[in-house]
Amino acid sequence: MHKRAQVRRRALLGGTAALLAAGSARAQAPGTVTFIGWSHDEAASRPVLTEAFERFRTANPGLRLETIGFPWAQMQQNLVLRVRSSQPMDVAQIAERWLPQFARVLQPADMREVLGTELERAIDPGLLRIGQVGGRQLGLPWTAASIGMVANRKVLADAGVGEMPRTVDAFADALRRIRRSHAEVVPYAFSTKNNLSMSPDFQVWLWTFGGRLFDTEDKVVVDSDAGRAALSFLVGLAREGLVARDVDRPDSRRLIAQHRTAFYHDAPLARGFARDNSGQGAAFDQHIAAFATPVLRAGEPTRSLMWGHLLTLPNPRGARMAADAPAVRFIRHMALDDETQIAYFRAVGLFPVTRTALRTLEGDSYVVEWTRNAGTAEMDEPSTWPNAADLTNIVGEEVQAALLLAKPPAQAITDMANRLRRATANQRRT
Amino acid sequence: MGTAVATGVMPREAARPGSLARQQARFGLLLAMPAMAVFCAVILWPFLDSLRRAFYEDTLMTPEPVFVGLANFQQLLEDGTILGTWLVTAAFVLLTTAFTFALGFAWALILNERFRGRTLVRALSLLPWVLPSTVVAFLWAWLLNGQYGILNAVLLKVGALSEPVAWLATPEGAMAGIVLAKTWLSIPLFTAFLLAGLQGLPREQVEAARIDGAGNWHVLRHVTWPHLRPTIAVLLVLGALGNLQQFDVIYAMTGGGPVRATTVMSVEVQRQAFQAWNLGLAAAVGVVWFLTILGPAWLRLRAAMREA
Repeated sequence: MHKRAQVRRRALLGGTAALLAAGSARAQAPGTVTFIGWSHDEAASRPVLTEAFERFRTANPGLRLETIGFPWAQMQQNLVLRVRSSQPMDVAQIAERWLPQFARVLQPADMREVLGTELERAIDPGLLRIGQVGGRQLGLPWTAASIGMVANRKVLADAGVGEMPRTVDAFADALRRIRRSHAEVVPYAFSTKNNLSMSPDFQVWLWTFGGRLFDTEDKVVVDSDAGRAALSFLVGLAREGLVARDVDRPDSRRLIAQHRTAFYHDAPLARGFARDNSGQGAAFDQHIAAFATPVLRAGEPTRSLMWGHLLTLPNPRGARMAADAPAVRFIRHMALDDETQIAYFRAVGLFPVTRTALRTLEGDSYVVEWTRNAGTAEMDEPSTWPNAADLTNIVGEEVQAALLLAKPPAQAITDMANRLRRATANQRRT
Repeated sequence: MGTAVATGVMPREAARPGSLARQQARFGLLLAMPAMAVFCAVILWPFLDSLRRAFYEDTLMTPEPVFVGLANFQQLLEDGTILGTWLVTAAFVLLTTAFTFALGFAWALILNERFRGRTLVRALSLLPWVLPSTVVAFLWAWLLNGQYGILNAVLLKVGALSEPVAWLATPEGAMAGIVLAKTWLSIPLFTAFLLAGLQGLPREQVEAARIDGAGNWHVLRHVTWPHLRPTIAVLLVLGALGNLQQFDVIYAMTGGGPVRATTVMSVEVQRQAFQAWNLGLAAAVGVVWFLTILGPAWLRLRAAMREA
């Protein structure tokens, strides 16, 4: 009886294994590309991406393209679950700041090996940086720019601010003038609510003041004069009522579209949001400008945060990938084809990445300014650690505590440094 | 016996004492099997698995979970945030359960009286209950929004405020906001329970007390309250359990902030599991959460067993 039970159990296990093997085999069946992403799940991007997928199908009649979309907020979770359950995934869309962590999970193919010289011929090396980890090109930029600043020209003009402030002092003066002229306007819609927004926005100011969260030897160095000065500057703005509490990106996007804020941080999509939220469409473009984050002293480079969406080729088995493999043809169609790239930009305002597509937009001052400002963009510092989310929360929480005046800036910086040291004590940076 | 032999039919063996009971028990067990199987697959197995996981290092970076004993619990203690999270959870549960009970009880007393339109008011009272909790959370978040909130707009209009207030931006304000939203959401449930209890109160008892000269307060204290006590006990335990498990309203309204002012156990589990990708640590927080829930759950279970 016991033996029979064992036989049955073995048969069951064997059957399950066979089914799994069949599933796995199907996952790698030639001629099928499974694409996992979030953009084609979003209402604004869906029509243009559906069209792009159809064009790929038409151009590749022998291939079967399966597209699976998840909401942005659930994307990471679903990527992990798909990897752990060995479900098919030939191409995965990821945000640039997830790459260091997901490089270990997805083990993507190196795009340089897959695309060869075609890669650098098509995309500027400055843009390619956002898809690099440890010197390898693990992500192909699909859209790339920075989290920079945008300004509302009308609010500035109404307050008598004639030209864009270039230095930190001029910026603070401009905010004061705006505050005096419009009581109901939030001069600077700095994020004060969500750690995921507060951490990058604070880092931009930290770099502007000459500080860093970590040095090149992975030591925590935020508790420096520069760190304290950066946070004190922001707390000073909060004390003067120049930034508001309880503000996150969606709030800032609405505020600028209603001429109720002069500055905030965002990705290039800012203009698209302003068009939608104002109800004026492209007519609102005249009020929106890409704004270079002010510098401490004239002549210093403006600071911003690298930002972009990447396409990766998950390759946990390290198989050699041919340049004309179905998945490679698909990423080439999405990221290196000018028609797809420009159509995507026209529909939702996401910047293209190819040199040739960018050249066609040289008449658009918003794109030109933004691209120039993004030239000195830097990588989000926590994202290069395996416990990036923890570190982002720590930075956000301490910045928020200081902005809410729950603790002095110097104390918040000391606490941030101590908490970061504890959190990175047993971790190794990517 | 003789008839049996003549007809060739063997008599049925006399039933042994207790065999009927055993048969019935077996049949009962058979009927319960599908539900038991679902319970084991959907609740018991994931629960035991998450308990096990609390003793493993299981992160995005570990291809296979590694047994680490009590290291996750040690990390929670050393980090020091778990105590704060526990206190925030306790404050939320106590405040929400107390306010919901007080307001639900008052509302049940009103709805138990006879007045014109009572049926309509009773039906409308259920409205918060039928709305999805995340919808309720977003509604309250919008009402209390510092820039666009209706509360600010009204207070500014009547001159009660000189400038907008970011109600959810302070630790106290955020806690008050989530307590308010969850209380509003839960009042119908409490009211329904208490109203049912009130309707079971014999009118004669109230009339007899009034003939004896008892006023409203005395009737409430000496007649109504003792009658409702078993219902109230069950309700408070169930309410506290529900509030201990609360996640969506808090996450949608404040995300656990500002800083960590509204980070309750459920939010911390979500943060560890799906932001930090530390499933082992999330499971350890879950164990602390489970031990916290165990107290009221045991009270409820004991009451249920007594009733049985």
